[in-house]
Amino acid sequence: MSETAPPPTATARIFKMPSLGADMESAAVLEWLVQPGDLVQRGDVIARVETEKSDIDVEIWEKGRVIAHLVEIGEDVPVGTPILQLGTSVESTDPISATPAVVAPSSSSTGTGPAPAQVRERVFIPEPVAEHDLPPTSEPARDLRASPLARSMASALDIDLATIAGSGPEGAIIARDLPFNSMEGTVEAPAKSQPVAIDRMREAIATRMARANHEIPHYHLERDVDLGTAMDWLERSNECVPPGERVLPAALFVKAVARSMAEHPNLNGFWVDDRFQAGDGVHVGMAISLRTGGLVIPTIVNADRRTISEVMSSLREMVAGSRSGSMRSSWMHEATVTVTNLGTNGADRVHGVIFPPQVALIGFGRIAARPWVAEEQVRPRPVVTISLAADHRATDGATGSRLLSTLAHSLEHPEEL
Amino acid sequence: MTAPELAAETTYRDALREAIREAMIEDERVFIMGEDVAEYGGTYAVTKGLYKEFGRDRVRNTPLSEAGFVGAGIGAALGGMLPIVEIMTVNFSLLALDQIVNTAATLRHMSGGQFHIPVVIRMTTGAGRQLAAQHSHSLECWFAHVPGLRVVAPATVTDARWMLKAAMADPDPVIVFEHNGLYNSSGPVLPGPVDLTTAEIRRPGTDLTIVASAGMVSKSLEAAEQLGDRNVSAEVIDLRSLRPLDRATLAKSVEHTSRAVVVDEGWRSVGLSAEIAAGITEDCFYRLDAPVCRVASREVPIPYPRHLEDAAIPQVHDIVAGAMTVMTGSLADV
Amino acid sequence: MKTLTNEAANAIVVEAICAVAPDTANELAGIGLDQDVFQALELDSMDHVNVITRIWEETGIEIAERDYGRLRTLDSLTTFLISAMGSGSERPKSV
Repeated sequence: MSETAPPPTATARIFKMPSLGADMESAAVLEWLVQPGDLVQRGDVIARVETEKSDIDVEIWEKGRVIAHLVEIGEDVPVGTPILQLGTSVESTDPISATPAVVAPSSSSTGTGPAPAQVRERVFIPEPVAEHDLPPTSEPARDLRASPLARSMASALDIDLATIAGSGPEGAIIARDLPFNSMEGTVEAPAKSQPVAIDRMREAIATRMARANHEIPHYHLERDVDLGTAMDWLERSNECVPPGERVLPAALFVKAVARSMAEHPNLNGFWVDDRFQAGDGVHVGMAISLRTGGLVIPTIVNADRRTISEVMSSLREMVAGSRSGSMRSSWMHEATVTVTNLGTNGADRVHGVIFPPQVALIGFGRIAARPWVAEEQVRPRPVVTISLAADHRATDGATGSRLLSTLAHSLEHPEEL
Repeated sequence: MTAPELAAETTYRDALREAIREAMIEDERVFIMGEDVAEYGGTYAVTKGLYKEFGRDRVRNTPLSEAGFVGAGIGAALGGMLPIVEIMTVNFSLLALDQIVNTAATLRHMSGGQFHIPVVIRMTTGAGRQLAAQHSHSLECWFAHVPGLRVVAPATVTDARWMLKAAMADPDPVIVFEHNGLYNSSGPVLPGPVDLTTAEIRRPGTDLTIVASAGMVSKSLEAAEQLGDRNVSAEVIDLRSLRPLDRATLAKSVEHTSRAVVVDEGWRSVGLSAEIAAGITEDCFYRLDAPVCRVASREVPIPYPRHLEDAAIPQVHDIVAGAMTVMTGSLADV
Repeated sequence: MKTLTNEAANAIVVEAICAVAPDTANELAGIGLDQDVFQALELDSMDHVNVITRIWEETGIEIAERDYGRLRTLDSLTTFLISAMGSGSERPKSV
């Protein structure tokens, strides 16, 4: 029926399952937070999805009216699979285009309106969807690049390749990327019936860290910094603001790292294909340990361009979100450098392991009162030991040393941050 | 491998001659024919001195007609003789393809096994001596394609000495390729006999397998040495037999290394390297950690000028580059 | 003037901790009133500031940074909330 013809196809859009991490391959929608007919705005959480590692709230970055869910709840689909059909622009006043999801099929009665059952019916979107937007019918593993050897080893060892980061051509997973890799070429596979005791997060950490230690020639540098000025400065500024706006030293650390990385771009980026690739901004990954064991590393994108209070509020949300199991997709950006902060109860210093393919990891030990010599006097001062773990393929100690100097200067002059 | 005490240093050329000589002494049905093989001693001097020793009945010059004298050799074999036919280069053997492919390779099959053709056809192959396009090609794959032929390519002095003897003993046609760059190479002759069917590991290694034959074996060994400096342990396999291919040895090696580089002085397209790469993929697919890499000649008729000839055929640095590509996934700076 | 019962104040604190660290709810039940609850539950400074913020959002009561050190048990937090509410130092929040 021509009068119920759909609006122009140009306005139909598809929202695809986003990649929420370099090694994420697929995810399943656990819960839809928007329903057909809902209007969505940029930044809205549209669904909660389950990935290999965690449950994540997926945000949408365009506005429109939801026409239909394109995947079933619980259905594991590859990254890039269309999951949501978005309708015409929200400004449209055309009743048909505004509610295409409930347009009845052409057989619908011309009476007082479609029968309730038909309203509830999920009508397949009449707009032709571009060929390349169609959901792939193949199994998820098809898009994953892995050598035949890597595939057979992973299968023998019961490892999910989706949890592995590839170091081969165009990111292909090759044998050396797998944990338990044996260069002798004879992999003794554990009996398949043997339960794999480690959970997926443990497995992912094991893989990454084994690869880091296997591949990256680390060098480690440390520097003690007197945080007296910074702590006073924080105390003074926190006095004037309500609890929700108070800033912790961690935010200062992240901001100082971000600023310093911008000044030392050789440490901010990735080692890929035997060469350094500078990051397209300073994206700081923050290692957050979970009480249940393991850790997650959400990312603050363009941290150097954020104010300290913006960094602080990101950190608070990340810590709360990570520990209560609701990661947000905007945190899943690939970090160019990682910060690990042992916090108030932690150890004095950390000799970190770089998160590949990054080339640097900056660690902060606990802030403790220590004897500090200044102006020929020994005084108790709050001191933190900052450590740098850096990839010697990308930089040398002198570069790392300069970074720590810049960082120390920043923390000694917090007002400049 | 260390040479036994009694192993004498000799050249590839002399080893071939000694093999022919021994065959002629042992069995008087053996004779050799070809262009300028008699008084002149052969274009590459392999038959030098044999005319004087055995006379014109057994060391026979032929007219410049490959179709004619190869056909005569096949006929002589059918008639009960044990002929060795020398063709100056593989390029000229194309004139005799009809005799070799349509007659020598088929008669045993077509006669239901009644007739054997115990002919040995020797020919020179390969580039590197500035002989230009009509004398420098590597067309081994044309013969290796044909059922009914056995095709071998000795790459060492020992193999030159003993593979020719084994070829003489084979009741069916054997094509022996002698790379023109090898005639002056020298080394110890280890004790025979040797077989005509297996490939040989010339250098053991663990990281990748380099497959080569004839003139490419020594280049591959040199490349393997250079790869050692880059902490890559390369295994080098000398094919020895081009038909049949010893896929078992290749598979065993690649199962171990998970990576392979196939070096071929022939052209890449539709060539021997394609056959080997396909065989490795069929046999070892689930053990491969990188695509099989082929290092082959440029797709041009082999040029005359030295620098262009060098550029056209695989060199040590090309093999190293191929190996590094297989090892790292990206073309290394070599 | 609004006053808080002991139970109500305790409930506010427990609710705040549970909101920030839901995975500790079971453990929280076994924590002694005079135990350092943050240390016992392995809550770090970021969790701590989130709990303080949560209490502030719920009650309008600000806990100053200088008091962080002495307000680390359920007892001390509860007592503090009652006295703060009683003293009228709160910024009541419309609900």
